[in-house]
Amino acid sequence: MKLTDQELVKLCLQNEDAGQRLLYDRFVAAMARLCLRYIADPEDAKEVLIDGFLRVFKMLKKFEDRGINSLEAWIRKIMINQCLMHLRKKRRVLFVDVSHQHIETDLRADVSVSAEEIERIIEALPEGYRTVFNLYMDGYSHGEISDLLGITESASRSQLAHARTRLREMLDKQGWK
Amino acid sequence: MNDQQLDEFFRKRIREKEETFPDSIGDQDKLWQMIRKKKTQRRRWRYVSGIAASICLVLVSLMLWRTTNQSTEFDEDEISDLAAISIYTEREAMDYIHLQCKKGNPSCESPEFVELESEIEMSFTEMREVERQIALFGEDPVLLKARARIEDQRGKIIREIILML
Repeated sequence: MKLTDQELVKLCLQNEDAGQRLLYDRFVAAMARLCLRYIADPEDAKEVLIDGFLRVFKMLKKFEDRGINSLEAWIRKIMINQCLMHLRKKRRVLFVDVSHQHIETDLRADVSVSAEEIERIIEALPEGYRTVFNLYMDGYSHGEISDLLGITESASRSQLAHARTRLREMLDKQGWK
Repeated sequence: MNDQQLDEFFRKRIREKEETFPDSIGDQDKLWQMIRKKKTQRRRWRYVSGIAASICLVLVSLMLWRTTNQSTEFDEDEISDLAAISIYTEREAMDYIHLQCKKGNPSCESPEFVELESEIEMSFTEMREVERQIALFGEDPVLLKARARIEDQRGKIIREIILML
């Protein structure tokens, strides 16, 4: 029987190790994919994922249940913050106009676009485009993105527009219309 | 494909992908072991730093306590020194006044001087009475306050006389 979010949190707080392992098993796949979307390097993504889970466990007593999927949304937020912290630390988020540059992808043109290849297409985006695009995909508004990244709302819109153009180009290359 | 369709296309595939653990991150169980290890390390570090902080706090408290004690001792010494100086100065001042009057200083004959001198005499009488009561009843706060007031008053009178001379 699958535990509800509330039961899972309660178990984590009561029986730390067993509960935390259950929580980890439930969310690790989604959060690992999330980290890889923001941080292309798997080793760095792994470190961020570990720190992210430790942060989740530490903050768990502050979690407030706000309905269906609220635990996942809360964990997702913590993980995204952890990713952004890592990018800031490494000063890797560069918001530059690289629309004139040619971006190489190793995608094969003769196959249909699978979810796996979508991941690689996103990974091929320049860091700034990718970060804004990912935040937008994760439901953040341009106002929130501008706050999180310390850029203007118009810069966020422009980065997203560039990201979409680039993604369309790459999808065209794959023969996807 | 418009922007909204494009976003939906990517969102859908991103969610699909999130159902499986990525191979590039490594083994899921090994990752859990790494989390546990880091958690234990952090706990140990917190424990050690907690002890270190407590030791620091105790040392600082000890140092502060010692410093405060030393300064209190110094203050008491200083107070007794000052008291000695004050008594010495008072006696000296009275000797000086008597010497001036013996030398025939005209101010010694003035009614103000006579009045101030009688006030000093009164203060000595008062002081003797207060000292007697202190000896009898112990160091009662009211008596100690009275002694301090008399001393203060006498000091003021002596200063006035010296200025007059």
